[in-house]
Amino acid sequence: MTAIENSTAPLPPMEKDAAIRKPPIRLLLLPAGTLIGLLLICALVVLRMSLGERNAEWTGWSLRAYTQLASSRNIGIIVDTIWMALLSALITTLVAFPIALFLTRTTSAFARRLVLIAILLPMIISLLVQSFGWMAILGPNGLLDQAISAATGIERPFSLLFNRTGVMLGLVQTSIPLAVLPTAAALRSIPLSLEEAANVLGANRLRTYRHILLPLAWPGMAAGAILVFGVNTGAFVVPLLLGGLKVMTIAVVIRDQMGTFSNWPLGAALSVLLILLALAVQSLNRLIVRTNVEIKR
Amino acid sequence: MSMPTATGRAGIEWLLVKGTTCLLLTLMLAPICMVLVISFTSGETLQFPPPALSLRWYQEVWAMLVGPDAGIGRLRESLLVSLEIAVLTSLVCVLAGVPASYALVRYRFAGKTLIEELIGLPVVFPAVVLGIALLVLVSVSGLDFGIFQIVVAHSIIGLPFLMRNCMAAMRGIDPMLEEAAMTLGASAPKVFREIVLPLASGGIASGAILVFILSFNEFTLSYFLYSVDVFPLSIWLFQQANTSFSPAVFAVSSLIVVVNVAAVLVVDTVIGSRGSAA
Repeated sequence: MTAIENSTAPLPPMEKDAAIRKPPIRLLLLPAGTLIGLLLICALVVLRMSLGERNAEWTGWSLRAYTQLASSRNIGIIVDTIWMALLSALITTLVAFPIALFLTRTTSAFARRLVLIAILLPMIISLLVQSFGWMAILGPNGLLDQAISAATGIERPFSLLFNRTGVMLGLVQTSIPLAVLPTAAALRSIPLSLEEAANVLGANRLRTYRHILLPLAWPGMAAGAILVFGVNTGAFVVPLLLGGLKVMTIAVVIRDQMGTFSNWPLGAALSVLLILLALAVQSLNRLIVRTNVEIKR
Repeated sequence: MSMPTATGRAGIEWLLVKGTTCLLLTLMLAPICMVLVISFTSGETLQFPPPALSLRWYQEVWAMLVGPDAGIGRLRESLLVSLEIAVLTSLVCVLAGVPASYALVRYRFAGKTLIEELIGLPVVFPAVVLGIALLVLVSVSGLDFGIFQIVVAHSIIGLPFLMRNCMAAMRGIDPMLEEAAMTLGASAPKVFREIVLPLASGGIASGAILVFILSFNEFTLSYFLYSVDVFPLSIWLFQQANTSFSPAVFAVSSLIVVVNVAAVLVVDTVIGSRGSAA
């Protein structure tokens, strides 16, 4: 924020005038800065609590919470959460590719608009409501249960609700839009002439996919996968509703530690871990965007 | 069987892409459709397919909203609180986000990249952590912020969405227009009011609608910050789902879906007509 020079980029000769007339930058950024500042304070609060003693979060200093993180139960939960986020990112990215391909290649403006709106719906509509829908599909006497019983004649063949499969379905379904949009953006930037050239030169469609479409679309796909991974490591609503109390993700455990078990330092240490994961994801994303820009130059 | 084409826009390959897309979109929208279907059931349970279709649960919800016993279920109260929170959140985001967007689009200053990164931070910041930290801050302060603790929390996560739309719209404004107005003697506030705001209004409006819906639907932050007096609709739904999971919950959910879809269509139209943000 230091060395602030108020200037308009496009017209250097006007700079001096503009500097006098334009409102100061600090004033413009102040309200938004307050909100973001509060977020940063929240991160610091969590960091401080994680280094505190149980029941003396503000006065004591201790690393006990972090040693508790290394207990086998907590390691299990952390690995489980990361694994579910990874798997959901992988599945979502695969599922997103054909949708993104259709979105960029269809010649019908109506179809494109329809698909785009369909893609936006799971992103906009309340996660809570969508989880209710899954509960009705997966739960006892739900759609899937009825269909499988009718087909096999077995009553209640298996349950998908309140276990990892149900949570995974929910995670993938709600994050499809996050993967489709960057993949579609990458596919849109590939000129059709490249594919036509490959065709003229005798490459079949499989080779065109392998050597042209996939390599050029991969930064978009990777960006989508990283975004899905990042969002799903912090997943709370979906595991809470579709996992019952049987699927523990880091976010759900934070809730339990801060609430029921009132072990604030441990909850805070897990929170710090989630923040670090989120920051790592954001820097990885930036790295991919940057390399992508360099390739395009 | 048709021959494969150079760009995969016809023939078997295109059929495959089209078919997979249709199938996947159907699966993706299945939970939403399920909520809509079950809300019309005549039965008492979430059984699928419903024994018969009826509007009885909508009548029940209507009675909960405007009937003589409307106070008991707290549905009306929750709906009003959620609307109030969503309107205030949009307002805060517009007031904070529009000037900041203008600064990021039109000014050059040291640390701009850092500020852009910080503005994007709430998108990746885990909501559970934000909710818990705010709860700790509120309880340490010992004050009662009432509705505003949720409004502030929602504004933090809504800000990047508003600014993304607003900045895209402002980037589309030719700086010459502002320069010309200034040369002709217009003051900075006047230029902002009469040139920047009208030209960016589409982006600001679509951003504000997005934030409204984001806040209206938000669960995680509200879950940590709600109180007996401030009991948003999402918390009401969650509580109902844990106690009496009757199709009435699905009728309320369907109404929420309708509001959400309407918002998507409005944003789509606004963006489409202005041709700004993607």
